[in-house]
Amino acid sequence: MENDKLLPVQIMPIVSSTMMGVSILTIQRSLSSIAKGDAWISMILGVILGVFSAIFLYNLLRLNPGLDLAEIIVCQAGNWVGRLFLLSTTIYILIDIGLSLKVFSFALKNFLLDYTPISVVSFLLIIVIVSVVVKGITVIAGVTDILYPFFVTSLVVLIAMSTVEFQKANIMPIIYGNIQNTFKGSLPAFGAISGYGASSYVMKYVTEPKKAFKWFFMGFGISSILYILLTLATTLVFVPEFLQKLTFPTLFLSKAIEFGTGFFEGFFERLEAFMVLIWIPAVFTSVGVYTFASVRNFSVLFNIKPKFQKYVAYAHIPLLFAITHYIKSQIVATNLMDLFDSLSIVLGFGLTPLLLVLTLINRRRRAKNEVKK
Amino acid sequence: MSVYRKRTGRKNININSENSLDNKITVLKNYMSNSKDIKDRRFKVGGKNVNTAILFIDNLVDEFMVQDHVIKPIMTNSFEWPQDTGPDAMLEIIKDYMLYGDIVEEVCTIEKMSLGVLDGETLLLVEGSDKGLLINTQNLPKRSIQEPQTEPAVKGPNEGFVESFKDNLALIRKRLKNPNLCVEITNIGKQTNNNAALIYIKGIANDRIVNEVKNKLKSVKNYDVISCEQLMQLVCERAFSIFPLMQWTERPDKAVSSLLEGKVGVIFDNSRGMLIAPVTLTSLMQSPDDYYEKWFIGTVITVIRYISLLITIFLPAVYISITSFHPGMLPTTLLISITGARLGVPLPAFLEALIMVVTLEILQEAGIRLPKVVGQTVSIVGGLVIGQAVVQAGLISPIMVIIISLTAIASFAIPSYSLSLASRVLRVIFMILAAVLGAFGISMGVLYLLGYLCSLKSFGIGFMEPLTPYRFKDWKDSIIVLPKSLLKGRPEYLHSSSAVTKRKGCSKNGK
Repeated sequence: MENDKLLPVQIMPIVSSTMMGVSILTIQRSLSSIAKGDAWISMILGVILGVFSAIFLYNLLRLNPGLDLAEIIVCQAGNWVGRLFLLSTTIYILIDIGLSLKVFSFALKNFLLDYTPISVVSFLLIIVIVSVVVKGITVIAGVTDILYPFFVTSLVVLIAMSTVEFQKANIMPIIYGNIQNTFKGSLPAFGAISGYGASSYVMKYVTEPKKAFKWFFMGFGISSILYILLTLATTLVFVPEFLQKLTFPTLFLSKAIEFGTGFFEGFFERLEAFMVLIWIPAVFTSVGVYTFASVRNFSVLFNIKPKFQKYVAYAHIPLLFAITHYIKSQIVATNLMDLFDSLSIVLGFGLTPLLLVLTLINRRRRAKNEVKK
Repeated sequence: MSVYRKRTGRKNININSENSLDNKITVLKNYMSNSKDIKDRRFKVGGKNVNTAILFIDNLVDEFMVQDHVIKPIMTNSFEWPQDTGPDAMLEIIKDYMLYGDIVEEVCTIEKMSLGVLDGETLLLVEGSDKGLLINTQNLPKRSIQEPQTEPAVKGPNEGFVESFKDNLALIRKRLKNPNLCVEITNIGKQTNNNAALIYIKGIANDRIVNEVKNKLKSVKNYDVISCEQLMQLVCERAFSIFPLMQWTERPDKAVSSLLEGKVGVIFDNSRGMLIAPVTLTSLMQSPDDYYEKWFIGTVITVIRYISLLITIFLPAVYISITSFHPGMLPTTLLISITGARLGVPLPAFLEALIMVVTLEILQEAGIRLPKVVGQTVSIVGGLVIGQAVVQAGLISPIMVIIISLTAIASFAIPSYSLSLASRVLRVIFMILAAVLGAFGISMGVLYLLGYLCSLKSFGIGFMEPLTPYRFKDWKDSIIVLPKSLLKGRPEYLHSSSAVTKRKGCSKNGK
């Protein structure tokens, strides 16, 4: 794996696309089932939580320059405890990747490939993702750079087009006797946007990390706004009772838009199929960065030298395929993915602050030792 | 044509001064396989009774020059020879006072002497001296400067590189009267002994790129290459890459603008083109025409070219995937018309497309090989007669003919022939992916292709620069073409030594 340096600007598409991934297709369902018509407010609250968590992460990376999250865990929490933390993080990320791939495979099967076996779809996705991950972070970042504008534009267009179907009544009355549920909804909302954490594995390859944080927050901002707008759009188009039954609300949003019967309007008859096609690259970049993070986790966990990292990447093919193959039901896969996304609160507000505290303690200890010397 | 590599080197052999002139000539002729076109002429130095001889290859030298600038001044000299003039001193005097040649070089070894003779120079030998003089009398057969055959432009200069090394260098020098223009000549090939000139502008070109190209040229010194196209394949890092990792151009204006950007050029003996390194996808998509027109026209043309590239690679694949897997993605009226046109066609869309693509490739190949006069007939027979006949016979649907024709026309809009060839290969790969997995297959292929493209490097510079990583400043002269006044500074991705120097007034692809 060749991991050359990245430019600070490249952090923006990486952060933004890892935040979106598969979750942007599904999150509105669980938000709507908790917060009903106030799902979009839950999303805003989730973003606010995300900002706090991102600040923790920013400081952690700032205080540990030249290290990625896997190295920071081992370095700050010690060899044994650190590896224990790292092992759980590794398993978490690996299962999350598998679940994302499975859910997306279902989306592809439902909207694009009716007759192709789902295992073939998952397997091909895994093969292509790993083949690019093997080439290193520079290549993953390069592919993300090229594809990112396309799926951001597609989302903006989708949101803009869906305005014709908006029904204000769906979100009214705002937070009326629903405050508790709205706050509850912020948890899965935070889980959905927590993908920015994957940047902690990329930041060490950036030429000027200080400049990169500006782009980090820009990417965070773009995705957060899109999440909020998309949640608002789906809530405005579908009544909450219907929305919580949809597995892929974003794709159904594109299906719900009516354009008339003319020749050009006819091209939008199967907009959802176009959307799922456009979304393949988005999932690819998101899962690609996560897979890279997983490769780094394994490498640090088992002290694998950089030149052998490509074999670690190849080893992900059977692992990921096993996870995707294990889960048969679409509902189970989606629920499990939402659950795993919600678990990211443990990483965001548990592990990261803990590592931050440990870093500060270790720094102080080191400073004291130096004074003594 | 194959490239041979000789692994052993020749030892330098000195011509023994005790040998007579006849013996020396025999040794030299033997060394050059006693070829009948090697001529010698023996004569005496005027005013001295010393035997002298010249050796040259017929047809490689200018006969009048040999007579007037070599033989005549030596035979008819009125020099007052000192009493004790030894053979070496005599050679010095001849060199300094008699020869009119612009380049006269003293050589000692048989290898250098023969190399000079083989290069069209005349060797002068004096009895008793173990040295010789190589006099430039070269007159190699060559073609006159003509317009570029593969890179024509509507406006702008119409001079193209030819097979003459000297003429090609002159075409560069003519446009770039710059004292910093540096030309380093390396001899390549143990058998072929051809010259390769590394050209760059000192202070502009990145030293790392210059050194990398230089080292690559050194590493292929023993390979017997006969053209710069072969040399390109040897010096490129990824031998299995289907994309060109050096740019080949036969336009001096394009070559000069690349040098001004901070790129490095290589000119090779007997090749009608210059190699430019490093290369990026955006530079392969540029044409001098973009800069000979107003900026907005240039921008539109550039955008059209990118669309053409996409059509060339993806259109047949998209058609196959839609007709075979996702007919519902089309508007109903269009779907009905396509289905109606395909009624009665016995072949699946993939086979239909494959037959047409293969036929098209055969036609293109035949068009290149045949003489120009017959070539037109082939185009008419192939394009019109066969095209119409297959549709009427019901073997191919008319829509497929439209798709393939559009694809073929789009491929001609790609300025780089190598890139056009690569896109033709990719077209077939994507057709197969579409036939197996529909649009999903195309998406997977696109992702893999992008990963592959992003991993390619040309002499340390990413092939996808400046598209990725985002170098917005460079986009104004790659994806789009902005007015000349806004094109300040050299491309960021080349890390030019003088990146801040304004490029005002200098030509960028001819502008």
